[in-house]
Amino acid sequence: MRDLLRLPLVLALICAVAAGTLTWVRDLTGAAIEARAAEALAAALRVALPEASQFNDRSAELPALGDAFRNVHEAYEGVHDGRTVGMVFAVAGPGYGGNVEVLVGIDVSGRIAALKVLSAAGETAGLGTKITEPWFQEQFAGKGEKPLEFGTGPGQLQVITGATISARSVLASANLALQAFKELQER
Amino acid sequence: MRGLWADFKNGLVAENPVLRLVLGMCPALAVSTALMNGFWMGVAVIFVLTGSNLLISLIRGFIPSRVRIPCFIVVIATFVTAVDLTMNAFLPEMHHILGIFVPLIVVNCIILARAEAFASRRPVLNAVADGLGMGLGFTLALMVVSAVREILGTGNLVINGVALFGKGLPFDPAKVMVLPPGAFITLGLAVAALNYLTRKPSARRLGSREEVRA
Repeated sequence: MRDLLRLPLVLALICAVAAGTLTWVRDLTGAAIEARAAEALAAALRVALPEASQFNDRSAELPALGDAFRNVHEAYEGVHDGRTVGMVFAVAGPGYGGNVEVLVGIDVSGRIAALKVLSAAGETAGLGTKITEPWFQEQFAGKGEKPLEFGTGPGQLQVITGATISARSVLASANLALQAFKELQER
Repeated sequence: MRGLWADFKNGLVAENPVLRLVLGMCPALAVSTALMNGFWMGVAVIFVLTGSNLLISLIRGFIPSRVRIPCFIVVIATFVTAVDLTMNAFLPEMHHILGIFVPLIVVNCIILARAEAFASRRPVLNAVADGLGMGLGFTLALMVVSAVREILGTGNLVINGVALFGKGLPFDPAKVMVLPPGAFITLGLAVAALNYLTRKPSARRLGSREEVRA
Protein backbone atom coordinates (compact mmCIF):
# COMPACT_ATOMS: atom_id res chain seq x y z
CA MET A 1 0.00 0.00 0.00
CA ARG A 2 2.85 2.35 0.78
CA ASP A 3 4.13 1.85 -2.76
CA LEU A 4 0.88 3.24 -4.14
CA LEU A 5 1.98 6.63 -2.89
CA ARG A 6 5.72 6.25 -3.03
CA LEU A 7 6.13 5.21 -6.68
CA PRO A 8 4.20 8.11 -8.28
CA LEU A 9 5.73 10.58 -5.82
CA VAL A 10 9.29 9.59 -6.70
CA LEU A 11 8.52 9.70 -10.40
CA ALA A 12 6.77 13.07 -10.07
CA LEU A 13 9.71 14.48 -8.15
CA ILE A 14 12.17 13.35 -10.83
CA CYS A 15 9.95 14.82 -13.56
CA ALA A 16 9.69 18.11 -11.70
CA VAL A 17 13.46 18.38 -11.35
CA ALA A 18 13.85 17.52 -15.05
CA ALA A 19 11.31 20.16 -16.06
CA GLY A 20 13.06 22.75 -13.92
CA THR A 21 16.43 21.91 -15.45
CA LEU A 22 15.08 22.13 -18.99
CA THR A 23 13.45 25.49 -18.30
CA TRP A 24 16.85 26.76 -17.25
CA VAL A 25 18.58 25.34 -20.38
CA ARG A 26 15.81 26.78 -22.54
CA ASP A 27 16.41 30.21 -21.01
CA LEU A 28 20.14 29.92 -21.67
CA THR A 29 19.79 28.92 -25.33
CA GLY A 30 16.47 30.52 -26.33
CA ALA A 31 17.93 33.90 -27.24
CA ALA A 32 20.67 32.37 -29.41
CA ILE A 33 18.21 30.06 -31.19
CA GLU A 34 15.81 32.91 -31.94
CA ALA A 35 18.64 35.17 -33.11
CA ARG A 36 19.83 32.43 -35.49
CA ALA A 37 16.35 31.91 -36.90
CA ALA A 38 15.84 35.65 -37.36
CA GLU A 39 19.25 35.96 -39.00
CA ALA A 40 18.54 33.10 -41.40
CA LEU A 41 15.17 34.65 -42.30
CA ALA A 42 16.67 38.11 -42.83
CA ALA A 43 19.42 36.66 -45.06
CA ALA A 44 16.85 34.81 -47.19
CA LEU A 45 14.67 37.93 -47.45
CA ARG A 46 17.66 40.01 -48.57
CA VAL A 47 18.32 37.52 -51.37
CA ALA A 48 14.70 37.77 -52.52
CA LEU A 49 14.62 41.58 -52.41
CA PRO A 50 18.19 42.96 -52.45
CA GLU A 51 17.04 46.59 -52.61
CA ALA A 52 15.49 46.54 -49.14
CA SER A 53 17.50 47.12 -46.00
CA GLN A 54 14.71 46.39 -43.56
CA PHE A 55 11.69 44.09 -43.54
CA ASN A 56 8.34 44.55 -41.81
CA ASP A 57 6.22 41.49 -41.22
CA ARG A 58 2.81 41.90 -42.84
CA SER A 59 1.75 38.25 -42.69
CA ALA A 60 -1.25 39.24 -40.54
CA GLU A 61 -2.93 40.78 -43.61
CA LEU A 62 -2.80 37.54 -45.62
CA PRO A 63 -5.91 35.76 -44.27
CA ALA A 64 -8.03 38.69 -45.50
CA LEU A 65 -7.07 37.81 -49.11
CA GLY A 66 -9.19 34.70 -48.97
CA ASP A 67 -8.83 31.00 -49.44
CA ALA A 68 -7.25 31.23 -52.91
CA PHE A 69 -4.11 32.59 -51.26
CA ARG A 70 -3.80 30.08 -48.47
CA ASN A 71 -0.48 28.79 -49.91
CA VAL A 72 1.01 32.22 -49.27
CA HIS A 73 1.88 31.94 -45.63
CA GLU A 74 4.17 34.89 -44.97
CA ALA A 75 4.51 38.41 -46.34
CA TYR A 76 7.16 41.04 -45.67
CA GLU A 77 7.33 44.61 -46.78
CA GLY A 78 10.82 45.66 -47.85
CA VAL A 79 11.84 49.17 -46.81
CA HIS A 80 14.87 51.26 -47.70
CA ASP A 81 15.44 54.84 -46.49
CA GLY A 82 11.91 54.99 -45.17
CA ARG A 83 10.18 54.11 -48.43
CA THR A 84 8.69 50.84 -49.57
CA VAL A 85 10.78 49.13 -52.24
CA GLY A 86 8.73 45.95 -52.61
CA MET A 87 7.42 42.88 -50.91
CA VAL A 88 8.57 39.34 -50.26
CA PHE A 89 6.14 36.42 -50.10
CA ALA A 90 6.80 32.98 -48.69
CA VAL A 91 4.76 30.48 -50.66
CA ALA A 92 4.46 26.72 -50.08
CA GLY A 93 3.07 25.11 -53.21
CA PRO A 94 2.40 21.39 -53.67
CA GLY A 95 5.27 19.75 -55.58
CA TYR A 96 5.98 16.18 -56.60
CA GLY A 97 6.45 14.95 -53.04
CA GLY A 98 5.32 17.43 -50.42
CA ASN A 99 5.47 21.18 -50.54
CA VAL A 100 8.05 23.27 -52.35
CA GLU A 101 8.92 26.36 -50.30
CA VAL A 102 9.60 29.47 -52.35
CA LEU A 103 10.43 33.06 -51.46
CA VAL A 104 9.29 35.55 -54.11
CA GLY A 105 10.57 39.13 -53.95
CA ILE A 106 8.52 41.66 -55.92
CA ASP A 107 9.58 45.27 -56.49
CA VAL A 108 7.26 48.28 -56.55
CA SER A 109 6.71 47.99 -60.33
CA GLY A 110 5.15 44.58 -59.74
CA ARG A 111 7.99 42.57 -61.26
CA ILE A 112 9.88 39.77 -59.63
CA ALA A 113 13.13 41.02 -58.08
CA ALA A 114 14.39 37.54 -57.26
CA LEU A 115 12.97 34.12 -56.60
CA LYS A 116 14.53 31.72 -54.15
CA VAL A 117 13.59 28.07 -53.66
CA LEU A 118 14.02 27.46 -49.94
CA SER A 119 13.19 23.80 -49.78
CA ALA A 120 12.67 21.10 -52.38
CA ALA A 121 13.28 18.20 -50.04
CA GLY A 122 10.41 16.10 -51.36
CA GLU A 123 11.34 16.41 -55.04
CA THR A 124 13.13 13.67 -56.96
CA ALA A 125 16.90 13.91 -56.45
CA GLY A 126 18.64 14.90 -59.68
CA LEU A 127 15.44 15.87 -61.51
CA GLY A 128 12.98 17.79 -59.36
CA THR A 129 15.77 19.21 -57.25
CA LYS A 130 17.00 21.06 -60.35
CA ILE A 131 14.55 23.80 -59.38
CA THR A 132 17.14 24.82 -56.78
CA GLU A 133 19.76 25.49 -59.47
CA PRO A 134 20.62 29.15 -60.04
CA TRP A 135 19.71 29.27 -63.75
CA PHE A 136 16.18 28.13 -63.04
CA GLN A 137 15.60 30.61 -60.24
CA GLU A 138 17.35 33.51 -61.97
CA GLN A 139 15.17 33.37 -65.07
CA PHE A 140 12.21 34.64 -63.02
CA ALA A 141 13.91 37.96 -62.24
CA GLY A 142 12.36 40.92 -64.06
CA LYS A 143 9.25 38.98 -65.10
CA GLY A 144 5.75 39.61 -63.90
CA GLU A 145 3.97 42.10 -66.19
CA LYS A 146 1.51 39.42 -67.19
CA PRO A 147 0.90 36.00 -65.59
CA LEU A 148 3.96 33.81 -65.97
CA GLU A 149 4.02 30.73 -68.16
CA PHE A 150 6.66 28.38 -69.52
CA GLY A 151 7.66 28.59 -73.18
CA THR A 152 10.36 27.54 -75.60
CA GLY A 153 11.28 30.83 -77.27
CA PRO A 154 14.17 33.10 -76.32
CA GLY A 155 13.54 35.10 -73.16
CA GLN A 156 10.74 32.79 -72.12
CA LEU A 157 10.75 30.79 -68.91
CA GLN A 158 12.29 27.36 -69.44
CA VAL A 159 10.64 24.33 -67.89
CA ILE A 160 12.87 21.46 -66.69
CA THR A 161 12.72 18.23 -68.67
CA GLY A 162 11.63 15.39 -66.42
CA ALA A 163 10.65 17.72 -63.60
CA THR A 164 7.53 19.38 -64.96
CA ILE A 165 5.57 19.08 -61.72
CA SER A 166 8.33 20.59 -59.58
CA ALA A 167 8.92 23.44 -62.06
CA ARG A 168 5.19 24.14 -62.39
CA SER A 169 4.88 24.31 -58.62
CA VAL A 170 7.47 27.11 -58.55
CA LEU A 171 5.70 28.87 -61.43
CA ALA A 172 2.32 28.63 -59.71
CA SER A 173 3.82 29.97 -56.46
CA ALA A 174 5.38 32.89 -58.34
CA ASN A 175 2.05 33.73 -59.97
CA LEU A 176 0.27 33.47 -56.65
CA ALA A 177 2.78 35.86 -55.08
CA LEU A 178 2.32 38.34 -57.96
CA GLN A 179 -1.45 38.23 -57.49
CA ALA A 180 -1.14 38.62 -53.74
CA PHE A 181 1.08 41.65 -54.35
CA LYS A 182 -1.59 43.28 -56.57
CA GLU A 183 -4.36 42.47 -54.12
CA LEU A 184 -2.45 44.00 -51.24
CA GLN A 185 -1.66 47.13 -53.24
CA GLU A 186 -5.28 47.68 -54.20
CA ARG A 187 -6.36 47.61 -50.61
CA MET B 1 36.80 2.98 -6.79
CA ARG B 2 38.48 -0.12 -8.13
CA GLY B 3 38.75 -0.82 -11.82
CA LEU B 4 38.02 2.68 -13.13
CA TRP B 5 40.45 2.22 -15.97
CA ALA B 6 39.06 -1.22 -16.76
CA ASP B 7 35.51 0.17 -16.85
CA PHE B 8 36.61 2.97 -19.15
CA LYS B 9 38.57 0.69 -21.48
CA ASN B 10 35.75 -1.82 -21.70
CA GLY B 11 33.69 0.36 -24.05
CA LEU B 12 36.53 1.14 -26.42
CA VAL B 13 37.22 -2.31 -27.88
CA ALA B 14 36.13 -5.29 -25.77
CA GLU B 15 32.49 -4.16 -25.62
CA ASN B 16 32.47 -1.43 -28.23
CA PRO B 17 28.77 -0.49 -28.44
CA VAL B 18 28.66 -0.29 -32.24
CA LEU B 19 31.21 -2.83 -33.41
CA ARG B 20 30.78 -5.45 -30.65
CA LEU B 21 27.38 -5.03 -28.99
CA VAL B 22 25.84 -3.81 -32.28
CA LEU B 23 23.70 -1.26 -30.42
CA GLY B 24 22.71 2.19 -31.62
CA MET B 25 22.60 1.06 -35.22
CA CYS B 26 20.08 3.68 -36.27
CA PRO B 27 22.34 6.73 -35.89
CA ALA B 28 25.46 4.69 -36.70
CA LEU B 29 24.11 3.82 -40.13
CA ALA B 30 22.24 7.03 -40.87
CA VAL B 31 24.59 9.88 -39.96
CA SER B 32 27.92 8.25 -40.81
CA THR B 33 28.12 9.86 -44.24
CA ALA B 34 30.83 12.36 -43.32
CA LEU B 35 33.53 12.40 -40.66
CA MET B 36 32.31 15.57 -38.95
CA ASN B 37 28.76 14.19 -38.69
CA GLY B 38 30.09 11.08 -36.99
CA PHE B 39 32.23 13.17 -34.67
CA TRP B 40 29.47 15.51 -33.48
CA MET B 41 26.94 12.69 -33.15
CA GLY B 42 29.54 10.96 -30.97
CA VAL B 43 30.09 14.07 -28.85
CA ALA B 44 26.35 14.33 -28.24
CA VAL B 45 26.21 10.67 -27.19
CA ILE B 46 29.26 10.98 -24.91
CA PHE B 47 27.61 13.89 -23.10
CA VAL B 48 24.24 12.18 -22.70
CA LEU B 49 25.73 8.82 -21.71
CA THR B 50 28.15 10.24 -19.16
CA GLY B 51 25.57 12.61 -17.74
CA SER B 52 22.82 10.03 -17.43
CA ASN B 53 25.21 7.40 -16.01
CA LEU B 54 26.40 9.91 -13.42
CA LEU B 55 22.93 10.98 -12.36
CA ILE B 56 21.40 7.52 -12.37
CA SER B 57 24.25 6.17 -10.29
CA LEU B 58 23.79 9.07 -7.84
CA ILE B 59 20.07 8.50 -7.35
CA ARG B 60 20.13 4.71 -7.69
CA GLY B 61 19.30 4.21 -4.01
CA PHE B 62 16.36 6.57 -4.29
CA ILE B 63 14.63 5.06 -7.34
CA PRO B 64 12.17 2.23 -6.54
CA SER B 65 13.02 -0.65 -8.86
CA ARG B 66 9.44 -0.94 -10.14
CA VAL B 67 9.49 2.53 -11.73
CA ARG B 68 13.18 2.56 -12.63
CA ILE B 69 12.69 2.48 -16.41
CA PRO B 70 10.43 5.58 -16.53
CA CYS B 71 12.87 7.33 -14.18
CA PHE B 72 15.83 6.45 -16.42
CA ILE B 73 13.98 7.65 -19.49
CA VAL B 74 13.12 10.99 -17.88
CA VAL B 75 16.76 11.52 -16.87
CA ILE B 76 18.02 10.53 -20.33
CA ALA B 77 15.43 12.65 -22.12
CA THR B 78 16.42 15.66 -20.03
CA PHE B 79 20.07 15.35 -21.08
CA VAL B 80 19.11 14.77 -24.71
CA THR B 81 16.85 17.82 -24.80
CA ALA B 82 19.60 19.91 -23.27
CA VAL B 83 22.05 18.72 -25.96
CA ASP B 84 19.48 19.32 -28.69
CA LEU B 85 18.82 22.90 -27.56
CA THR B 86 22.52 23.64 -27.13
CA MET B 87 23.38 22.31 -30.59
CA ASN B 88 20.50 24.27 -32.10
CA ALA B 89 21.84 27.44 -30.49
CA PHE B 90 25.56 27.10 -31.09
CA LEU B 91 26.06 24.53 -33.90
CA PRO B 92 23.02 25.24 -36.09
CA GLU B 93 24.44 23.71 -39.26
CA MET B 94 25.40 20.46 -37.56
CA HIS B 95 22.02 20.46 -35.80
CA HIS B 96 20.37 20.69 -39.20
CA ILE B 97 22.44 17.80 -40.62
CA LEU B 98 21.99 15.46 -37.64
CA GLY B 99 18.32 16.45 -37.54
CA ILE B 100 16.08 13.86 -35.92
CA PHE B 101 18.99 11.69 -34.77
CA VAL B 102 19.85 13.95 -31.84
CA PRO B 103 16.36 13.74 -30.23
CA LEU B 104 16.39 10.02 -31.04
CA ILE B 105 19.32 9.51 -28.66
CA VAL B 106 16.55 9.14 -26.04
CA VAL B 107 15.61 5.76 -27.45
CA ASN B 108 19.19 4.76 -28.27
CA CYS B 109 19.60 1.35 -26.68
CA ILE B 110 23.22 2.04 -25.67
CA ILE B 111 22.12 4.69 -23.19
CA LEU B 112 19.29 2.73 -21.59
CA ALA B 113 21.36 -0.45 -21.59
CA ARG B 114 24.21 1.22 -19.71
CA ALA B 115 21.79 2.83 -17.27
CA GLU B 116 20.06 -0.47 -16.55
CA ALA B 117 23.04 -2.83 -16.68
CA PHE B 118 25.76 -0.66 -15.22
CA ALA B 119 24.99 2.76 -13.75
CA SER B 120 22.09 1.62 -11.60
CA ARG B 121 24.27 -0.85 -9.71
CA ARG B 122 27.74 0.73 -9.52
CA PRO B 123 29.40 3.63 -7.69
CA VAL B 124 29.35 7.05 -9.32
CA LEU B 125 32.95 7.15 -10.53
CA ASN B 126 32.71 3.74 -12.19
CA ALA B 127 29.47 4.79 -13.86
CA VAL B 128 31.14 7.93 -15.23
CA ALA B 129 34.14 5.92 -16.46
CA ASP B 130 31.78 3.51 -18.18
CA GLY B 131 29.81 6.35 -19.77
CA LEU B 132 32.95 8.03 -21.07
CA GLY B 133 34.38 4.76 -22.40
CA MET B 134 31.17 3.63 -24.06
CA GLY B 135 30.59 7.08 -25.51
CA LEU B 136 34.13 7.28 -26.83
CA GLY B 137 33.83 3.78 -28.28
CA PHE B 138 30.65 4.84 -30.06
CA THR B 139 32.34 8.01 -31.34
CA LEU B 140 35.46 6.19 -32.59
CA ALA B 141 33.39 3.54 -34.37
CA LEU B 142 31.24 6.21 -36.03
CA MET B 143 34.31 8.20 -37.05
CA VAL B 144 35.99 5.17 -38.63
CA VAL B 145 32.84 4.20 -40.53
CA SER B 146 32.08 7.75 -41.63
CA ALA B 147 35.66 8.52 -42.67
CA VAL B 148 35.73 5.42 -44.90
CA ARG B 149 32.34 6.29 -46.39
CA GLU B 150 33.24 9.93 -46.98
CA ILE B 151 36.58 9.11 -48.64
CA LEU B 152 35.18 6.40 -50.92
CA GLY B 153 31.88 8.14 -51.56
CA THR B 154 33.06 11.69 -52.22
CA GLY B 155 36.79 11.26 -52.89
CA ASN B 156 37.63 13.71 -50.13
CA LEU B 157 37.66 14.21 -46.38
CA VAL B 158 36.37 17.46 -44.92
CA ILE B 159 37.40 18.51 -41.41
CA ASN B 160 35.93 21.74 -40.06
CA GLY B 161 35.13 22.93 -43.58
CA VAL B 162 38.68 22.24 -44.85
CA ALA B 163 39.04 19.58 -47.55
CA LEU B 164 42.08 17.45 -46.71
CA PHE B 165 42.72 16.26 -50.25
CA GLY B 166 42.31 19.56 -52.08
CA LYS B 167 40.45 18.88 -55.28
CA GLY B 168 39.79 15.28 -54.30
CA LEU B 169 41.51 11.92 -54.66
CA PRO B 170 42.30 10.66 -58.15
CA PHE B 171 39.47 8.17 -58.49
CA ASP B 172 35.83 8.26 -59.40
CA PRO B 173 33.91 8.40 -56.09
CA ALA B 174 31.52 5.49 -55.57
CA LYS B 175 28.36 7.36 -54.65
CA VAL B 176 26.82 4.19 -53.21
CA MET B 177 29.17 4.54 -50.23
CA VAL B 178 27.38 7.66 -48.94
CA LEU B 179 23.98 6.08 -49.64
CA PRO B 180 22.38 3.60 -47.20
CA PRO B 181 23.90 0.42 -48.77
CA GLY B 182 27.37 1.87 -48.22
CA ALA B 183 26.60 2.16 -44.50
CA PHE B 184 25.84 -1.55 -44.19
CA ILE B 185 28.86 -2.58 -46.26
CA THR B 186 31.26 -0.39 -44.28
CA LEU B 187 29.84 -1.31 -40.90
CA GLY B 188 29.98 -5.03 -41.70
CA LEU B 189 33.60 -4.77 -42.77
CA ALA B 190 34.45 -2.71 -39.68
CA VAL B 191 32.93 -5.36 -37.38
CA ALA B 192 34.89 -8.05 -39.23
CA ALA B 193 38.12 -6.04 -39.07
CA LEU B 194 37.80 -5.50 -35.31
CA ASN B 195 37.11 -9.19 -34.73
CA TYR B 196 40.13 -10.15 -36.81
CA LEU B 197 42.46 -7.66 -35.12
CA THR B 198 41.46 -8.67 -31.58
CA ARG B 199 41.83 -12.41 -32.10
CA LYS B 200 44.51 -14.21 -30.17
CA PRO B 201 47.68 -14.18 -32.25
CA SER B 202 47.80 -17.97 -32.37
CA ALA B 203 44.31 -18.01 -33.88
CA ARG B 204 45.05 -15.45 -36.55
CA ARG B 205 45.55 -18.03 -39.27
CA LEU B 206 42.28 -18.30 -41.16
CA GLY B 207 40.33 -21.46 -40.51
CA SER B 208 42.19 -22.23 -37.32
CA ARG B 209 40.25 -24.76 -35.18
CA GLU B 210 41.46 -23.09 -31.99
CA GLU B 211 39.33 -20.06 -32.75
CA VAL B 212 36.13 -22.02 -33.08
CA ARG B 213 36.54 -23.63 -29.66
CA ALA B 214 37.61 -20.39 -28.01
